[in-house]
Amino acid sequence: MQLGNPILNMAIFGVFVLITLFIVVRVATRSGKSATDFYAGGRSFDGRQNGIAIAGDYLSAASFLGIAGAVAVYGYDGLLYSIGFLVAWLVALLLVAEPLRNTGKYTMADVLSFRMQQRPVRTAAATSTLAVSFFYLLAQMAGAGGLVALLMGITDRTQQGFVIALVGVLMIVYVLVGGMKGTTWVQIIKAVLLILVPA
Amino acid sequence: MSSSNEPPYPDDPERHLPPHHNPLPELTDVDGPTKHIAQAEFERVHQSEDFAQLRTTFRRFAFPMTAVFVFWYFLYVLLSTYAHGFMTMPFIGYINVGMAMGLAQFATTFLITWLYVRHANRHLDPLAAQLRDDLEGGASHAAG
Repeated sequence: MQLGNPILNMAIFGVFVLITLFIVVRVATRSGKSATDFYAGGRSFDGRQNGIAIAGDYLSAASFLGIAGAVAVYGYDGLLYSIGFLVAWLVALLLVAEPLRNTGKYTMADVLSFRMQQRPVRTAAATSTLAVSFFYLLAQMAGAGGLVALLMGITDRTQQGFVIALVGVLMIVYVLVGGMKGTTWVQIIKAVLLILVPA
Repeated sequence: MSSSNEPPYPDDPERHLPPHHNPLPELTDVDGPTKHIAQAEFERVHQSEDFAQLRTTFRRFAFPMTAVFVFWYFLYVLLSTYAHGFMTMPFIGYINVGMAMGLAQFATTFLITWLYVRHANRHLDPLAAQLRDDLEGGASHAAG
């Protein structure tokens, strides 16, 4: 089962990819090359823009497809999941981000390894980050696969996997080329589009 | 090649290369490479009262607040699971207690965030800037 004309869907998707890639590349070539620019967006984003970008982070496949589906299928119990997302953000704020404040470091691994042996601590931090990201991505990829099947009419598993891998490569390009500035701008655009367009 | 025979960072066994060979400080420091601060200096600040006060100020906010919102959220989940009668009571019009409580979770999250920002700006930042000044000798003012 597919929705609409697959060629048109792919064309619209391609247009969005080109626009966001253009923005990312332009941001990358205009900004500086220091670590501050890559990791912290050159500190040029104010609170409101960062807030919109974080909102864009949360407006993900898991929210739009997963939570909406859970509420549709299970009713009120699906709502408990979304409240769980929200309260979990407070854990990240008070227990993880707060101790990093004022340390002059970018990442958790930097702070942990500052006064300890670099290599084992950084390995541990990287492993734990990858483990958490893996489970998070599982949910997102499931949504992505469903979307691809619906919009492009691709139902064969390997073809779906190929398209999803392509999207993954695209994301890596965004981050490597744009750094924090590029990804923040993409998230802001995404948040604005996802809130305004359905409205 | 280093011209001296002694290791460039005697109190850091992981750093075998001279400073300009080590990519880590520039990649990991926000406002540029920080001065290398000796172990003794760190020990001194670690024992100092200012640092203890900074730590207590942080902990006295973060831990109680965490306990409060975790308790509040679990109360909400447990009530939703076991107290159906209570949660389906109508609250305002056709919105029942369960929905109202869910929305209240949103409200409390925003409230806690606002309280945290206020607390950090008012109490944590000045203390931290003062400690940094002490340790790096005014470097924090230059970097802003």
